[in-house]
Amino acid sequence: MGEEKDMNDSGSKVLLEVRDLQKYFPIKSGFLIQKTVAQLKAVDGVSFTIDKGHTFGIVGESGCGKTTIGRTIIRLLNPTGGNIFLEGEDIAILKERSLKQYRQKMQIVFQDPTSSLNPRMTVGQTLSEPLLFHGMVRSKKEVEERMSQLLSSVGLKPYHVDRYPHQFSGGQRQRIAIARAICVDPSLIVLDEPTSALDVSVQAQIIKLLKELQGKLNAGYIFISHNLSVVRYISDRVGIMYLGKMVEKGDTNEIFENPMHPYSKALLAATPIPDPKTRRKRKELLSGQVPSPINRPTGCFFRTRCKYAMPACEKEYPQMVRIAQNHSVSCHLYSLGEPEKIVEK
Amino acid sequence: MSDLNEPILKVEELRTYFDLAEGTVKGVDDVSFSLSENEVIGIVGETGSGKSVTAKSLVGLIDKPGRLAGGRVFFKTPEFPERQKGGYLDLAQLQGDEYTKIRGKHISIIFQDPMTSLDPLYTVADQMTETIMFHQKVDEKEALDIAVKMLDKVGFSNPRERVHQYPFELSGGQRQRVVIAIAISCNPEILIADEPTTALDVTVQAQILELMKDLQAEFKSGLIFITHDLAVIAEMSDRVMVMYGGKTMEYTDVFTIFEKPMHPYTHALLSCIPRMDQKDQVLEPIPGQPPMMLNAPDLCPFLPRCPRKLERCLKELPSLIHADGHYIRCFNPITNGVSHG
Repeated sequence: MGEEKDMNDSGSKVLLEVRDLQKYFPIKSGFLIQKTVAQLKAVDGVSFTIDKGHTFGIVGESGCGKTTIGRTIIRLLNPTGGNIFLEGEDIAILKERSLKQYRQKMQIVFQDPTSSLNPRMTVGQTLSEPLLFHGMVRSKKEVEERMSQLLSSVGLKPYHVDRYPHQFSGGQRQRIAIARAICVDPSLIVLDEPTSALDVSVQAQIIKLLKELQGKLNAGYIFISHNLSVVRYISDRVGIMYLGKMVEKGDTNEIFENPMHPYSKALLAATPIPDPKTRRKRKELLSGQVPSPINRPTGCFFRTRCKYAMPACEKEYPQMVRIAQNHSVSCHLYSLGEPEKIVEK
Repeated sequence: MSDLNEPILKVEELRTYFDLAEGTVKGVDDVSFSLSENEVIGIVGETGSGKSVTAKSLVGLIDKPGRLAGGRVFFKTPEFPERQKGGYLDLAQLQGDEYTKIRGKHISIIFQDPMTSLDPLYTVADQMTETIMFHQKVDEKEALDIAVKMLDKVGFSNPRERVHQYPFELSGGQRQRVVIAIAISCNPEILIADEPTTALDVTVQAQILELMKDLQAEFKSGLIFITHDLAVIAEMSDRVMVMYGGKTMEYTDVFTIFEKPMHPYTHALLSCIPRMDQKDQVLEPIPGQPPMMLNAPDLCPFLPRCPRKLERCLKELPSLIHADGHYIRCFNPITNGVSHG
């Protein structure tokens, strides 16, 4: 399982290592002459690793930066700082031309298949484009073979190849988006809320499909979602985000059974459970709302809503410390733990 | 139904159809339930199951090409005494403007997205006093006082200043609090909440759910809570109605629904939701797609996906039958020992 100690152990099972990743968006103001007046720090120093064939879940509420992380890792957005090691190569600094060979290794599935599929392209055109672009097929016959194989692997029929997206249901469209992502044999797939637009009965089909495909492809997944139940089901490891920072990360069962950060605890307590017997009388509710990401509090960003806040929390942002084998947390309550080492390559 | 107190709302065989050029969509087709004072009924179902159309039908918000095609909605109310039968008014018989005497005053509705239910051009005060002055005999100053009192109830700090803010100055959770404040401002007997927390983050959702529980307990109103989220249903409801394809499939108390569901659809639905409280869970997806509603045959809508279908299911539609307050529409229900506890 993903041990952070193994990070510098190259040629290992580590697929992706994200180190101190930053993505800032400038906020501009002014008429005619635009000046940058502030920085929106959407992702602010996030580090984690994913092993081959494993799933890392990223959870958090709206505006915590989870989508930006996914898009920055596959270089749909250019990072402001930090490193992204994909199979040992730092793709954060690569120029567009040299990035091309890595594009094939990294794919993404978006939340809404209606907007991520081109309505004027048939399923066949949608799926053959990446294959041809990356030169993975040579003849027309090969395209057809690959196509029917792809469609059956996502649970669609070969005759669907000439249909347009509007002829499919939401669940089927998401299957097409998944087929498009896996058609180039990627080693990393970013799944950005892939089931949030679907009904629960269809959501279960898609989750099951994703798990099956992972077994076959041995691809690493970054599963981004606000739905904690789905994340628990699909992820091996989980990171919880708040205002651009990862506040806690570790093995899924460890995080869900033994959350340490006050925000993680509140997030888990706020999530309803489909069992009327567990109905809680008076929950520990978080009061207030998430501060503006442009104007974050000093020190720890969560201190304004944290009931354990102490003077130290106002001064500096707590370091990420390891408190158990596969469990790290960034909170002054646990600052006695062993600081997470960042090993320079 | 063996209710101790008389229900304040009795919905019987409600049908709402939409006449389209391609055919008829039976958005709601044979839905029955009742609601007592101080009771929470949860309506759960997937997209297109008819849960929102049910809610809108109750408050007369069905627009063309939709129409109320049948059924009765008996409501206990002091309005229109001359048209009542046995102390109940049949809302399905109301025409045009007559509904405005009921809606907002006796039955209020909260929608999913507070940004679309609030008018961006008016302050919170304008929008709240409009409703209050329409239904109650008060002047503007008194209406404003009621508005401030309501904002205080839904958890606004310094409501006297915030009442003059515009919706864009509020966060999503606060906007939904304003919508709730408007809904309860005339102290309605029934509150309908149609996916009120679906657009909100989970920590804010928890706050709003807690608020709604508190208010419901305080005002002792009946609450119809509509959602696709079974976890929220478990958290909120006393009784649960499961809808599929516009029909009531199963309807009983919340504990029975989650522990001993009898309908194959309810059972399948519970087996396919991932649960945060369970380790190494096995999901059993429901095969196939949700039903096409256009010109749907008069058969059980779950038939194509049902693992327990019989010969008989291919020929006729089961009616909603009940035993001991457990309503179910199925020829082959699960009668023993499947637990989701």
